[in-house]
Amino acid sequence: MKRWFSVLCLVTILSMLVTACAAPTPQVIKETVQVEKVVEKPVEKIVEKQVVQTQVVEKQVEKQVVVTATPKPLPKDAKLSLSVFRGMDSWDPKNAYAPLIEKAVGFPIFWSGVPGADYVEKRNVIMASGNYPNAIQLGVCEPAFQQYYNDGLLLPLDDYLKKYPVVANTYPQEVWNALRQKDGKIYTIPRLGGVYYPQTINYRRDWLDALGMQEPKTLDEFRAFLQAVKDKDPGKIGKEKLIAFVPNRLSGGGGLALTWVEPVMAAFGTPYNAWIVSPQDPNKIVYAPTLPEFKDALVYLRGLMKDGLLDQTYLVSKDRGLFKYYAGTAGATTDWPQFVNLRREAIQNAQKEAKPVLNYIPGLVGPKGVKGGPVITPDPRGDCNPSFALTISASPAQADAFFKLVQWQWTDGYKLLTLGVEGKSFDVVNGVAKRRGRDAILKEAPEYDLYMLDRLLLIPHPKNMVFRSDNPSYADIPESEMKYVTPILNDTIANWVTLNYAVNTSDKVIADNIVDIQTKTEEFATKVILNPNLDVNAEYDAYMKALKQTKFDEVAAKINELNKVKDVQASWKALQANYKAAMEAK
Amino acid sequence: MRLFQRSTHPALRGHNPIADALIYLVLTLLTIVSVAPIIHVFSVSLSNPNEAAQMGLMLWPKGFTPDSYLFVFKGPAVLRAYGVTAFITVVGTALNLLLTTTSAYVLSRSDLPGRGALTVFVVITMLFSAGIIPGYMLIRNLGLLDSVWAMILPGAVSAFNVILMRNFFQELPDSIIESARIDGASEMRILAQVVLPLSGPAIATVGLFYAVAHWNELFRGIFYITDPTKWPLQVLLRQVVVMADLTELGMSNRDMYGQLSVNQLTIRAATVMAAAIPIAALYPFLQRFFVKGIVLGAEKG
Amino acid sequence: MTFADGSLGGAKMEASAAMTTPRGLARRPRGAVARWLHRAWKYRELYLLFLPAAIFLIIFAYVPYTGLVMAFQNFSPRRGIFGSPWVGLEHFQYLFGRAGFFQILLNTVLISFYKLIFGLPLPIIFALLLNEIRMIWFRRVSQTLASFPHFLSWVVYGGLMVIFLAPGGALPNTLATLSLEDPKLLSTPATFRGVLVVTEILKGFGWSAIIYLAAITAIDPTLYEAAMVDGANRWRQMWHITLPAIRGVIVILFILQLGRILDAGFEQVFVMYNPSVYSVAEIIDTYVYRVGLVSGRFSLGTAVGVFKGVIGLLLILAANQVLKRLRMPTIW
Repeated sequence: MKRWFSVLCLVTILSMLVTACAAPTPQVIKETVQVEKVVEKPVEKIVEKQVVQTQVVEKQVEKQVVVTATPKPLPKDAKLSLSVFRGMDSWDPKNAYAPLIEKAVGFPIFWSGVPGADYVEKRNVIMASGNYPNAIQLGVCEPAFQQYYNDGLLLPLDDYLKKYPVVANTYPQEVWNALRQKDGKIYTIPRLGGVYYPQTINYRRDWLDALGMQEPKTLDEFRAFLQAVKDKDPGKIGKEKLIAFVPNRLSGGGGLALTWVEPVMAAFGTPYNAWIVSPQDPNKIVYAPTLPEFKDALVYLRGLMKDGLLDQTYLVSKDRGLFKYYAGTAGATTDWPQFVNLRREAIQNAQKEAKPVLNYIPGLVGPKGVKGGPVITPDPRGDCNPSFALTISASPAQADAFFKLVQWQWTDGYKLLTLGVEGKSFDVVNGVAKRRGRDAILKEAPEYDLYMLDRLLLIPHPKNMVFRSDNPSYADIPESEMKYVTPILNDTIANWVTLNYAVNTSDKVIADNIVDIQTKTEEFATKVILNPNLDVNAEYDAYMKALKQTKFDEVAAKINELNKVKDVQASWKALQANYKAAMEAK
Repeated sequence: MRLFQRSTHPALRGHNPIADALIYLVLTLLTIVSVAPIIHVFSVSLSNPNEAAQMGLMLWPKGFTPDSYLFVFKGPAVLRAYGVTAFITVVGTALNLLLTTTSAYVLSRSDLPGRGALTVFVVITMLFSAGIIPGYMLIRNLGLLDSVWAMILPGAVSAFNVILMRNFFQELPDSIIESARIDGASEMRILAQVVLPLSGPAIATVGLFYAVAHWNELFRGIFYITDPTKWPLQVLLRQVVVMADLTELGMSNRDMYGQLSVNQLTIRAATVMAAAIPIAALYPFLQRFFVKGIVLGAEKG
Repeated sequence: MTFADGSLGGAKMEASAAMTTPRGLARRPRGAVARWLHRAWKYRELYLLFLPAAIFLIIFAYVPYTGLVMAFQNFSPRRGIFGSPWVGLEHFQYLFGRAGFFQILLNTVLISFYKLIFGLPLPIIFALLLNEIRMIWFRRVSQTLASFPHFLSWVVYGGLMVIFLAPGGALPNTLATLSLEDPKLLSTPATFRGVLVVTEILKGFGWSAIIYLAAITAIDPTLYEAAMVDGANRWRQMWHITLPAIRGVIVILFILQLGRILDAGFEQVFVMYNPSVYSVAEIIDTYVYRVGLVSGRFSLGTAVGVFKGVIGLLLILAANQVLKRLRMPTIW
């Protein structure tokens, strides 16, 4: 027994020594960094018989030696391959597309990633431990971005943008300028979302017709529709399962759920969690929930909740409202119009006897005639969709390869990345390319699984997102529905959008306090909506008092400083023009 | 016959039939309360997605369909993950038990000099954790990144379980150990031949705790494993759920095949069952060890 | 009596051995340290036995502790742990200075405490009752089924509880048929902590009972036989034999859980709470997560961890002292 034990001990210790020795030692490079030290010296000045002391700031430049470790070598020959790290679900490294992409770009690429939900955590950890991949998915509005930028971990992209004009010209100049950091350089290639996916109201047209009503245009008419749905149950759903209005909530519960009733809140002139132009002063930006009209918005929603017109689990549970709509038991939801056929098919699937017709309302008009539509932050920073950045571990060759990859994906590679390979993942039928069903592909040629293309497409080109029949994503939508939705989308973007003016929030005071402000707002709104007995005015006063604790005035001042009304409006105009151009491009 | 014997005590205990009935009633209630959620999840996993979405709590499947399970087990990925996780669990638990029993035994010897210090040494590790980054750096420096050993080694000693086992050992009668010592046995021999056979319940308990912890391990898998073929079960199943509901994947939520974006509710239920059933089956299997250890010639005068 | 290899005995034995063996006189140790080392040498086999576990703990727990300095630095990934600038207690000041932090700390401690105290009885009762029944199959089935909720994550279990308790769920509906109003348990600050505690107990009692069951099986059956002869009924037996026997386990579990007092159950709270109950249910971990304090700010996250550990340690030390006074088994 004793011998066994000693042997076991020895084996344990030996194996650990072996693994320890097998690990490559990180190399250490010394680099000289110029550091500016700021020294304040008081200086006396005599001004009008008064001695005034002013501070003089002297800048001393010091040379510091910074010791950093090189990143751990990659599995493939690190000098040659480009390593891309991003959120990737169900990634199969043996898929057939990656080699095709490599061949086209002429550079080996090493793809790696984590399931999307955990991506940010893991990326932060590997960056913090010095393991920098060459390219990472990173949003400018993430706190991590400021960390990496301040630490000098990111590569400026300006030179490469000059070299690859296709990439540079894809977005308007305003977008690029918005992405410039303190040193005036650009560090991310953005991915635009908001303007293409406006939130509107989606309702059951077939139910409306059965009720003999007109399409609601105002909040009151909308409420009347919901009430009629509840009272008369035109879809014959049954009292228990019927829900008049179920806000979408694809992004989760709690405070986020409040962002899924944009048209309603905006119709009162107080879009939730948005900074808008002050009704008193056209040059000032205010936080919409602090306006007294916000109380009216909450009372309206509270009324819906109390009268059973609103999904009863709204704000309490984190369930996805859209799935209740899919079940065909709801009269209206908030949704993006371009997915109309998906919703319709789902409802049809759930209720075989029904003949669902889905219509969209760009927005609703509030009591003071305010047009309430979707809220859009006209800036890639505010949008915070995952962009891509290069880290300092990327050599010039690797950075070049990255841009080549992006450019290729948006030009010659576009077909491969949307359709795959003919004969394996899509077929040409009557001159039109049709993708194969997934089961068929998995059976015959599993390495051509189209899901992989989603992972390989770094950033969707705007033409991947625009609502047109030649966009393969929308290939299956019937012509009639396409004809119906297009003008609604255009109308929404042109006339119904409320802007969120807090596009630039990169300041410490804002970053430290903005979430607390949001928390207080969430609490206030949720308590009022869920409790018919609470006095709104008392709660509002308590809310305004609570905001004082969050340095609200400082934050508001900063936001006004960083965001000028005119500039934000100019950004929006540029985005609108960009959208229009994409819609009309040949 | 054995099923109806008294579990632990000879049938000498006086019993009151009313009290008995009451006890059975209470136990039944508690059992129902516990098992109801599982029944619900199981029912959902076998239901039609659209019908399941409409229901609140379910006791049996509505619109019975095994499709959700077929979706989860499509392809070799899940089975491979089972294999990886089984390896981690078996090897990990074996290592855990070895280290835990030895250290717990040492800590249970009340006359050991420095025992207090060693106990503190162990308990501190339960209270403080350095966080994910130093952990990651360590694994990287040890060259264990992307290796299943990164899942096994870091948690090899759990202070909580060591203290638990130490307490079990402390409850054992000193006289038995003393007499073995007097007979000239080495500590290791005492541990192996005297203490462990008497500690069936403790080993089963602690072993179960470790095994379940290994089986359910998620975060180590996310941070330390990059190769998708080595992903442990929980990591992989998380993905399956996400893949089932493409509407969650950012803005381009169009299913690439024009196929309906499937409601993830039933898929998620199926993954929960797929993960829970194998490991939950371990507990009943271990219950046979919850019997008093055989005490041969217990007290020698 | 000779001892084969210098094994255990009391000091007296040692002294007598030292005096009787021929070499004893020459080897008499001098000074306290030398004496201690001499004693330690006698226990060398035990130390050796402890060594493997110690090695693992050193490598995987203690070595990373060097990273705890991050809590006192402005950690910069580029400069690493040894190069980042030192800021002392700045992060702690930042954390404690946040408006509402005291309330959050209070929530965390209260929720943990309630769970600890109220969560104590049910697993014990369950184990005791299981021990009382005669049908082995019933006991095994009940034990097993009761442990099932443990295998569900809070995302699933908590989600179910929310469905059950939310408006439109089974509970309000049932109450409605009895003409009772919906108590809105999930959106009323006064009841929400209770919901957290009760659901946690229901989810975990079957699993927690395992430890107690294991302890109960270790009880010497002759004790029960003797009690029977003395005429004690089952309840007296339970009170005088079973309970005292598992007293040690109860106490040790209590202390160990005290060490985790500031971990009030992140996943559960996160899944089940909503903004209307933030004031009573926001705990340190959910706050830190939601506010994104740690996203990219590792120093702050480490500081939170250090804070939690320190408080846990203090509590364990305090509890240990109290238990010593009460002459109960202590942790060290």
